[in-house]
Amino acid sequence: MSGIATPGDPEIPDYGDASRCVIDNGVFCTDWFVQQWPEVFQPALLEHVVMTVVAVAVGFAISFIAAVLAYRRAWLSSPFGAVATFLYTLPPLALFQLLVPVTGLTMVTVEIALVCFTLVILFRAVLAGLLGVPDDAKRAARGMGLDSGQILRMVELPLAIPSIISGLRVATVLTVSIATIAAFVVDAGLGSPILKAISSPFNTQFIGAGALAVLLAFVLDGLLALVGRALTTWTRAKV
Amino acid sequence: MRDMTPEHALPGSPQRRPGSPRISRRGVLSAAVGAAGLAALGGCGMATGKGEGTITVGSKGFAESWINGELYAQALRALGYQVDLKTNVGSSELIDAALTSGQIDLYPEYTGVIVMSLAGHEDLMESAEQTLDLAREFEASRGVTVLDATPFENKNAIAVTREFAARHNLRTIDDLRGIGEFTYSTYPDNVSGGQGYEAIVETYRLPNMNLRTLSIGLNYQALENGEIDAADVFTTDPQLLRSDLVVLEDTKNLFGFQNVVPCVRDDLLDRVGQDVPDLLNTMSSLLTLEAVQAMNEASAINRLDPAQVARRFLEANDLL
Amino acid sequence: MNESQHRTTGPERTERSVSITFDRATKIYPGSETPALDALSLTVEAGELLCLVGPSGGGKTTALMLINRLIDLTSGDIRIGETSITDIGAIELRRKTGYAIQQTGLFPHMTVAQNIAVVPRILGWSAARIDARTDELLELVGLTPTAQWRARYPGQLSGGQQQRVGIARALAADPPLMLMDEPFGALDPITRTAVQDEFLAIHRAVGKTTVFVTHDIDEAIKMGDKIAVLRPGGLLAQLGPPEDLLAEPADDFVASFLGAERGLKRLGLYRLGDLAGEQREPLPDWPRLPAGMTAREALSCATAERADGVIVADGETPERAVPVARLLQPEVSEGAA
Repeated sequence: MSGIATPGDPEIPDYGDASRCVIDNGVFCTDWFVQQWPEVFQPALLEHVVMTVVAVAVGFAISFIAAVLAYRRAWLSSPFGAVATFLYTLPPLALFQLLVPVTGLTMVTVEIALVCFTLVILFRAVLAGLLGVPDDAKRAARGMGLDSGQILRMVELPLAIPSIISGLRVATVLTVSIATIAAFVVDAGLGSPILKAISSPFNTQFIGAGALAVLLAFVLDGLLALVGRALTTWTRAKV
Repeated sequence: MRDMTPEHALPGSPQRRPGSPRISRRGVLSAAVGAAGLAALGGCGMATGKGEGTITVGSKGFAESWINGELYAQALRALGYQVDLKTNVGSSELIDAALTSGQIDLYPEYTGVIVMSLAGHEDLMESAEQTLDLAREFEASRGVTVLDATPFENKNAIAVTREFAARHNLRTIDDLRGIGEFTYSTYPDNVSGGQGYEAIVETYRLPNMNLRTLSIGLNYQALENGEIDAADVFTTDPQLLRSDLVVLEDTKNLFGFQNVVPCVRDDLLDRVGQDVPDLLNTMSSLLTLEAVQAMNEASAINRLDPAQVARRFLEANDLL
Repeated sequence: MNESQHRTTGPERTERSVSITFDRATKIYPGSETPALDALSLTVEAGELLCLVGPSGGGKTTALMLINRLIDLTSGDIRIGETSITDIGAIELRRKTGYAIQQTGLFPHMTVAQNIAVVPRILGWSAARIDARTDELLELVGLTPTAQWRARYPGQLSGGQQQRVGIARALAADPPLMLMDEPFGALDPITRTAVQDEFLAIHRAVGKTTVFVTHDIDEAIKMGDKIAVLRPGGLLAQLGPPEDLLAEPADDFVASFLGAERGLKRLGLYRLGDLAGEQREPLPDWPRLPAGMTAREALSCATAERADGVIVADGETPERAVPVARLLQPEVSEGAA
């Protein structure tokens, strides 16, 4: 039967001293940040990247299929759009409330929620891109004897790329931001140091993590823009 | 319900032992999410990706509990188990419900909280052992085993400066009776209630104790500035390690007994080896007041991550 | 017999051109009571360029789109050579049909070369063959040096250049027939004239059966070996070579469609050089004009100079005088100088 344990003689590690900046809760203690980078911020940043990329990739896959279907059958675009919009307007925490009983306090819950927020943006971007293909190009393609799959692959999708990239950029930046809330469910991503630091409060921790989130959003947005440019050389051909 | 969601540890502010009635914004959020997590009782709760042999450890959202959870989790992993650590689960009721429904297999809890908040006892306890026994009995009736308790306790206390104590010859809270008017501070939600200002005045017969309410984080400063004479603190506050403060003895045990015990589901014990309860008991013995205060300091003052704090402690004690 | 020389039957016509036969082809669009095309029956001979003209609602675009099955027949039949189009799969049919439209429909994201290569690639041609064909076509439509034009994007081209690429693309897989839906309608008049001339030259060289839809009667007169006039309701009003229509319109509708200057337009079909003239000494002081001018233009010059005729001075044959009376009746006076 258990009792009150006899005190062992624990070796208490030397946790060091806090710098003046840390004790005073300065705006940003660079030393502390640098020291904590490998164990706190770098893992959080990597987790955040993974969370974002997975969510956007899955969201894109779903939205892409839905948009192509809605493009082929116009009556589908309203119901799809309505569902996607509804999911988008749910407050993230409410969505967690709904998901956690089913999928638990896991990364799956987080990803499902993040995917939900990308859907309306990506669905509309893909669909708008497809609908924006010039009619004469489609008519000519059909008249030339391309079947609908070839037209989609060779004409419609390439011409939809600018719109698609634009949607991906918005969705990615949005996801980076929302993914910070994931820390309420799973202790992962840049939201984790932010959350831990807000109630204390410890400026360096949440400013550092917050700044990283902003930087990450910029970097990913920039990468996507570059990809877009590479895929649309024709838009920059000089007349 | 006296037991509300705890708050995160703040530097210069008391750590919240669960049992304090403060509701934080984050706590409410955590409670909401945690409540949702527990809405799936019964079969649903089992389906959350627990593989064979995975041990799910829970912890509440304030630093001391988080570090505790990390200690269990990392040490169990070192034994070779798959461990899933669910932090920030919420208030005592919520995390207890998680335990009884099987969402988590074990978590660290305070004996006093078990007895007063979960089991609903109203009488004051007389000893740490009595509290532990009652806690053990209660949990056993629900299929949960309570293992060895830690030597450290995290409970409310009253602290004065060393200088003030010397001047008035203070050792216990009773000693305050004879010193004339003095100012005591606590946070606004702790005025009434089982361990609040009014309870102290009544139990210790201290009509000379005047109340000043201060928000969390301000009492240590106020003590050192001389703005107040006595302050409501928690016994594991890291400030107590460093500051020139004295904790007065609670002779009537008004603040109860709050050792930490690992609460473990019986079905977990059935499927793992003896090494798990042995480890948890070893862990308990290592958590002395000094050790816990040092770890809290590392978290609150040095701003180290709970996982880091736990890891270095385990490394220093050859548990990793 | 009295064929104007600018319409030849081309010595290098490919053997791969076929005839197109409309056999009581009818199209009624759903929800409409009147037919868009009403039992049209006509034949386009192999190698011939037929212009389909008429006001809007006449069914000319409908007729065109029935050929490559972009629209399906309500009743009747259309045959390519001897084969009914319903016996050929729609996609396969279209890959064997050159199709050029007014807005060109060039794919903006593909270079000129890639645009041209679309159908050949689908048909599985080798890269080398496609390359050679692309160069050949660009030279044919006058976009040289080809290396420079291949890599351009449609957005970098003028309207006329785009149309030429459109034509090259339509010809890419060497189809036996060409369908053209008001291809030059969006061009400014100067460019349009140039491209029309180019296309006539191409047609002479390549000799593919072509159905050419236009609402512009002058274009039809200029381009067509034959003209089919469709009236509203999708009915054939008249079919025949331009000079026949201009000389003898079948009814008032055709006459009014040909316009009040029908007589003068007919004069435009004849070359000055083909008209017999008179050797006069001395030659009258009339305007001196090249042999390539049309009788109509010569008449206009004579009127402008207030002369009674013109002098044909083409540098090769001795100069001769052609009085206005001869200009007015060119079919009578055609013959060697």
